[in-house]
Amino acid sequence: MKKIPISHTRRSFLTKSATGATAATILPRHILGAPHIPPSEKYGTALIGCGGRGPGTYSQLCKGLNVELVGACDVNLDRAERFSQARSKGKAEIYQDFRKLLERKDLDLVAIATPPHWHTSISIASAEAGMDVLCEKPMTRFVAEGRAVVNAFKRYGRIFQIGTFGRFGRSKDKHAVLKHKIMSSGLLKDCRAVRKKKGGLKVKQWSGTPGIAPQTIPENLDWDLYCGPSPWKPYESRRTGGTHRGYWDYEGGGMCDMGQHHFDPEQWTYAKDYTSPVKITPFAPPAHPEVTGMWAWVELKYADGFKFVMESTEWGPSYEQDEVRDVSMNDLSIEDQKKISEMPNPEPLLSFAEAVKQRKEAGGHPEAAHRAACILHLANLAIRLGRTLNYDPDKEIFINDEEANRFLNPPMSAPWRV
Amino acid sequence: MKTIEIIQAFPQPDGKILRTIDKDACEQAVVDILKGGKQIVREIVDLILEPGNGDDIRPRHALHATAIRVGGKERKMERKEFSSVLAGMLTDDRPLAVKGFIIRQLQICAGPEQAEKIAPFLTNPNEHIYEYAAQALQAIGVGTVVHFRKAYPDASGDCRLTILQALGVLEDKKSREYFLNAVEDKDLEIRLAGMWGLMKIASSKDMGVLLSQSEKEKGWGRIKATAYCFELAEKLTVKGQKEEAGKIYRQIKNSRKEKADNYLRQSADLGISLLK
Repeated sequence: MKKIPISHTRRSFLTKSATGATAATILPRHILGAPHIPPSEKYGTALIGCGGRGPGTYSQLCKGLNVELVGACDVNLDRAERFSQARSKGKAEIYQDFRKLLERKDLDLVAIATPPHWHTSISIASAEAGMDVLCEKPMTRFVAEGRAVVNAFKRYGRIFQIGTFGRFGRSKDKHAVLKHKIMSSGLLKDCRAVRKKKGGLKVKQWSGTPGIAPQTIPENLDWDLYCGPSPWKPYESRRTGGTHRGYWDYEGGGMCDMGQHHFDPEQWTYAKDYTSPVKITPFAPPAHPEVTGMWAWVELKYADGFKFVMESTEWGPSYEQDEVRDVSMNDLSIEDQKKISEMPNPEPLLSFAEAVKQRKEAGGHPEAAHRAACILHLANLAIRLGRTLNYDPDKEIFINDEEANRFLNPPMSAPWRV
Repeated sequence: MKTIEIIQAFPQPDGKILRTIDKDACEQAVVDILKGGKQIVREIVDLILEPGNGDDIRPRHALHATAIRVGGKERKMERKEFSSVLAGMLTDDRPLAVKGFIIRQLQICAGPEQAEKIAPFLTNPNEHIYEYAAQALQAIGVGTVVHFRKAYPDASGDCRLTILQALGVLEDKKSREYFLNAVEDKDLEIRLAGMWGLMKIASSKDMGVLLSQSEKEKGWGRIKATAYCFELAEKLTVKGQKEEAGKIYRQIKNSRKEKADNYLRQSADLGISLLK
């Protein structure tokens, strides 16, 4: 099969027009002249982060596309080698440093499955190098990173899809579509809906282990590169290989591991893809400086009154502050119900493959993925800070809380920056 | 109550994790620590060890909990006092790794008053303490920029790069000469940090330097340098300097001739279209 000409793949532009560096705007879906891609042609692909979820994420990237693996990258070269062998009989070149990989001219699509502290820097660099990206969840490690990713993908007209797909099913479910229409109509004033996620956030499973003595760095691991944008710490094996989830430096516990799966579809259903909660109230004990730990519940209230609640069920009291209640047509007047019935259904969400082929926005686009990640980050910050936080979802800062704001955009270690 | 008794409120791992934590007891311990003032804070810090030298899970947890809990607008005085006591311990004879931990707590709670005590570590290349110091000072904010400016000329290696980047984070216009000189450095990361700093201070005077350097760079350097040109154009647009922004976009469009650069030409076209 013939390699796809570069101008037809990574060099073709997303059919969107950016509307300014920080605007959270729904962009029109129109074609800017994307070329037809013959089905016999191949996209050059790579996986960055070859352990754990890596192979699964790469499979998601390839779904529905004709691809050829050209690169495998991991700070642990053994893993990159194993993946290259498994998926290309060793033909794909292996890399320890993603910067070298992104210099390739035959690369079109990148799957990112590193620990989350690397997601932002690699996603942005991939867009800057002209590639479309499928990135594992959670999208980011902190709030400001997400906005930087959104801006980069707008700037370069690249496609981004977050590695969670529950919203695609929701967008085809008639009950979810109805709720989406009610919530997006603006007709529901003073929303009293409370959606509770009870359990499923793996609080104990992804709690970290404090006090482990430093260990010898394995020979094939570039530990400094692993730490990357996060603060450098002495090597201990639990900071890598899945158990990294239990450290604030890399992920943020089960909240960040599972939260995007749970709240991304909910966010779509309740039409919150372009906003964030305004008030976050936690019940949690003081957190440890390095490792994630216990919490009981977090309530996140949006400007329209809608609430998400997370209840861990693994520690502390249950949430009894408000009753769980869904939205329904009964919340509206007869006249408004009629308006909802006449509303067109939302446009179907495009899979990553369709988005790449049509040069249109994917269903799990950067803004939606960022807002879903923000739910988790805001919840985690409330847990860590131990107090109610008031948040401005447009400026993306806490209101009158300078100490809390320090956690929204913590400085990265050089040379990494957003 | 003795310090050792107060910090007993914080848990030891049960199995591997801190599952037995008692919220009320921990919150009360924080109150007791703040009530106990300088002496108790010092005694807790004395219990913190270099990693690998013994069990200090409880004192680390207690100190961090206090640093976090003194935040918020109702506790301004307590925060000031606690931060001042903590910063004072940076001049003690303690292992660098312990001072690094103290600095990371100051990143959460300190104000500009504590910057003077943190700044000397900016040029210390050992145990990444320069990195912790730079991050704490950046978090404290723009009032700390003078310390970075002062430290930069004497810094070398990773310390130099970290300080240069911090000057960019703080968007320090007075560091323009540092950024301009850095663009000519032989080290790629220093050049990129210099270009990024110029982009952050967003003066149209520097667009020629950025554009010309972005054309000289190869590979990764070219990818990032081009990105900084785009970002500068966006910043100039926001400032109302659309003509200058347009020049950047047109220059990128005209200079990226390779087939593989098509997406850059299209990005430039998009930028131009947004100027109208």
